[in-house]
Amino acid sequence: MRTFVRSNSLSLFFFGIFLAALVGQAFAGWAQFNDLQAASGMQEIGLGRYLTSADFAVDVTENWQSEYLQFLLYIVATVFFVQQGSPESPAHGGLGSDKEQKLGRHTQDDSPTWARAGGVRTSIFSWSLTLVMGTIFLVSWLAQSIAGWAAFNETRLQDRLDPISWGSYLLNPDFWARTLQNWQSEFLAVGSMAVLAIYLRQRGSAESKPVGEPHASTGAEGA
Amino acid sequence: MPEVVRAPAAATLVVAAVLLAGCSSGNDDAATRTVERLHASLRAGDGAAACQLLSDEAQQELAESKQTSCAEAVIAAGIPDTGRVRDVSVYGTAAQVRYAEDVVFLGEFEDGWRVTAAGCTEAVGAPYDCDVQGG
Repeated sequence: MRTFVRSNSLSLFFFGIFLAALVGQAFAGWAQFNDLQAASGMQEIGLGRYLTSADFAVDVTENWQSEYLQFLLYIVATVFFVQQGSPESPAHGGLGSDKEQKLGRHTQDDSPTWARAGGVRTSIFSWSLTLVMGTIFLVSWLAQSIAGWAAFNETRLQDRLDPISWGSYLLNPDFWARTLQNWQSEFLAVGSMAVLAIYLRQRGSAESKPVGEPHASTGAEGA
Repeated sequence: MPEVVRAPAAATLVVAAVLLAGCSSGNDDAATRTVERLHASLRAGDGAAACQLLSDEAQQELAESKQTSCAEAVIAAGIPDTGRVRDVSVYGTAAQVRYAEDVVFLGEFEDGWRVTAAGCTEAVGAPYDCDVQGG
């Protein structure tokens, strides 16, 4: 058990703080929702009802989609774009040779089954991280649009306005304000990380070059 | 590669949960029944019973605007009793029931759906203007 925890401490740490933050968001969002209900003369709701509400769902999924988009773009962009001096950037860019990627006759006995299989399975596995991250992004964004539409219409009905269709909501400023306010912050954080990591170091971190590595070293060649 | 398969499945579950959260089939009927009970009370001339089906704020605003009791004011308000329901929309704790000549808004309270606005006429680019309204 202790060995399992030590071997997976990074995943466990992030999963733990994810759950803690989600619980915190649930309670804070519930209180905020009930404040607004009271202000408009409507009934306050219980925590269980809030957790299945469109209001909670849109607040959760609008952040999920942007985070998965951030990592999706970072995964794909670092195939094709280079940032000189950044440990996050490939030295040259491109998909790499079979030798570099340990494919074809360069596979090892302990390479993943789908990497050794060849053909379509290896092609899919070669892009599996992007495919899964992209799918989670699209599904989360779809969920945001549906939950956001329902939450938006709830507010419209409370304000004695007609509800709008899902198609209209996709063109509504509410949908794009929720979406873009998340995207801009994710893009800024990733872009600044790529640049700051050229000149700054965190000793021991896999996200940083070794402390004594020259600023000009790029990607894996500097690690 | 089990991870590759599981992650989209988990995301699909999230969407399914969101879709289910947005579903409102039972609430459509419940909201409509409240409006129909309001119409029946008004037809019977029972203003007190009609007021019980209005939200607290609607009762208060109605009584204040007409400077009389809610029971008398709701009869005098002349809420149209227009028969067939044309459309029902329910989103979370709010609903709208449309008739040929009226639009009624409701909120979900501890004791069920109650009318927050009735006798409403459309105002372009603004909230509906209603004979009975509030909260």
